[in-house]
Amino acid sequence: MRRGDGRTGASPRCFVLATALAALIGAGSAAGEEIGTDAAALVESGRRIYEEGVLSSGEPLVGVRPGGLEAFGREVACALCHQRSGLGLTEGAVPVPPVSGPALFRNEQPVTLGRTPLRAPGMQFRDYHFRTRPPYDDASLARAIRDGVSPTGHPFNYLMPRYLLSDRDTQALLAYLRQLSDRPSAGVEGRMADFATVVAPGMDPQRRESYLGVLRACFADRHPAPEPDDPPWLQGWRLHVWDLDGPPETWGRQLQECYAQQPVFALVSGLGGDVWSPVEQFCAQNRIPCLFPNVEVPGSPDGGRYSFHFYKGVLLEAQVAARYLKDRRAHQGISRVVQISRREGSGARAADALREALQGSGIPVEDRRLTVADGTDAAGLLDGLTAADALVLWLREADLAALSTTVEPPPAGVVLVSGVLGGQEKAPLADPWKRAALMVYPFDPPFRWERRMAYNLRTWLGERGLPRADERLQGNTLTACNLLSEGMLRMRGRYQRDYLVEWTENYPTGMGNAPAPQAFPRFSLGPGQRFSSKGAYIARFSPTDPGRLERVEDWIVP
Amino acid sequence: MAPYAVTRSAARALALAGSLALVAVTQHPVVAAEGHDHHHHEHHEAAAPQGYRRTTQSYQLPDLALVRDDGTAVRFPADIDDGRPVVLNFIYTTCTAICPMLSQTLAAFQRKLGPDVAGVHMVSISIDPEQDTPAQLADYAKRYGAGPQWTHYTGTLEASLEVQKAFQAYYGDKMNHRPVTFLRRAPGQPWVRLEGFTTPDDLVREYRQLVTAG
Repeated sequence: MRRGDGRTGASPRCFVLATALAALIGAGSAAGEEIGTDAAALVESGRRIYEEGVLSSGEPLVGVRPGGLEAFGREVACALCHQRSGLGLTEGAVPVPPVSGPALFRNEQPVTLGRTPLRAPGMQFRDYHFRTRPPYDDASLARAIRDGVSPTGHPFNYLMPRYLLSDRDTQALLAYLRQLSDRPSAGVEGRMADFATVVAPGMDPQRRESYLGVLRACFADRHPAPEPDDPPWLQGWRLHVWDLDGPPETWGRQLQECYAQQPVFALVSGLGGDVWSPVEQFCAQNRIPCLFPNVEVPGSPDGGRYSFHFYKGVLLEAQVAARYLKDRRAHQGISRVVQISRREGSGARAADALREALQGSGIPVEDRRLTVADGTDAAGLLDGLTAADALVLWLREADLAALSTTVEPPPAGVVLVSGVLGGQEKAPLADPWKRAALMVYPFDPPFRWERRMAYNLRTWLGERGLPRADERLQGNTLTACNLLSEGMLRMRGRYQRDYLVEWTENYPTGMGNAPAPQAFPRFSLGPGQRFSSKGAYIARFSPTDPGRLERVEDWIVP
Repeated sequence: MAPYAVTRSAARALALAGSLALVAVTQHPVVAAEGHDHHHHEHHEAAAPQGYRRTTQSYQLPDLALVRDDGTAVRFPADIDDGRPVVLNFIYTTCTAICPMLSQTLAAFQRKLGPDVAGVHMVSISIDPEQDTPAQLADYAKRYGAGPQWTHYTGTLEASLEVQKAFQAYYGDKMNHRPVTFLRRAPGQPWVRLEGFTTPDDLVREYRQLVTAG
């Protein structure tokens, strides 16, 4: 890849799509009074206690539960339960109360609808003590942390340890808590919230249009600009489209330019291909949640704290292929893998990942590269294959078409095609290849998926006059928008980016509300998890109907 | 409910519905009949404010495949039917509030048993099996100093769900996880179900009562 010097003219186009309100946004939201270096150091040492469970002495934090159960360091760090935002969560029947500055010192409550919960005759309503207690001051909060009682002496839940803290560490923790989540993150101003979506350069214009059509419609439906008599929790949204230009090494600067012009609360979805890490780095540096882009290769193996993906794209396919091929060695005597890809792009990344996943397995991997633009040099690449070989094709549709019409399938024991790159059921393979090939298929099985799309995507598109295009792209984009929407609603007025991350990672999926229009059979996250679908099927083209795929292996989680 | 609304008023209605659902899901205000006694166990003398509830249950355990934290594929429940008493719970490795505490409790239980520890089979089964690969579970086990008598299991999502359901410990979503611990004296015997927070001392006492009874 080129260094940026020749292309420093690359410039992003940072557009606003929604025109609901003329922006009254000032110069960002760097509000926040200056604090002295001593005070800042105190807050930082409080942060280390809160997030990492490390005392100012460098020793681990010690927490004791009634009955004597002692635990140390990260195991009892405040953030483990109260979360980095300090806004808590509910796990099972146990509510973890918020401990943000406003919650502790002003007893501030989330936005409510002013309703009284329904109750049957004879039932008593008792609210949680943490919602009705008086605000803390420094003395009562220090006592709470050390002795496990509220300002009125109410004892805490067993889950909350009692902490052994020096006066200095108590002071640091209090200083940290006082400022924790005490004002909305940048990107939310009054009742308007700004979001951006990033489009990588070189995307097919029609694909970009159908992608943006879904986002525009989602924003227009759900987030009109609020009017004065609307309830306070109704929020207006604006969508900004950041079109990147030029080589990836200039994307970071472009993103910062767009962000300087318009601070946004989160990035929603996104459209890219084999390079996405500059976007993830931007998200990590600015602590911006980046929710579920459409990309073939995620930026980093763990995604970083602020980036969520539906799956690992072709890297997942490579890991699943490795698992399947190891299994085939045992059952079928596969003793070598030959993989064909282009030298660059997603196919090359997948080939690297498969090589890595097979390291130490004793199965040698041989890379062969397509070099001619029209893919017609493929014939020679298939020489010397036998039934003891597995042939893996990390090729896009045009290359699959060229290869499979140029040459007959070789006598390899296994022929495996990438579903992500190869076009899934529409893969343009010639018939003899369809009979020979298997496909790594990280999506919902076609029958189930079709049915879900009919209910959850096609009606939605139709009602909005949007044409059906790549329905996996459209469905995933709508899902990303829905997830953002739900997260924003669940925050109930406490607009903290970390809180959005926490709602997203704890999205409850076991209760039948998995996001419906997505292309994947699973959606499961958890604290620290960043990829919501973790496996793939191995499929083949139906012998009776080569336009259909059918599963040959159960869901493989590598 | 129509999936997504077109008009302003419908958008409002959607947001309203969402907020209401949220109140129900996340607030759980305590609604209790007058005079209702919370689940304080009669033997429970420690100062823990919540206590736990003890019941005896018979469970039909399905025969299925699980994978140990060392990567070995095994049959369940055959793998825990080794004649030793069993202490069993459900966890997942990225869990924040409840599982770390449950695992801390089992770690302390194992220390407190002293030389008797070899006589018990401790079992933790993942409720997030696609994330909790054997390697992930092995790391987790190490974090809590799990001895050779303490095995962590994963498997397919379906297998994990079946085991949770067999123990009546399936709560719909892993975030809805409850603290429950199961004890069994020997294969074929009923299970003691401890629902709620048990201190390590509670657990040692329950265990000793069970293994010395009858």
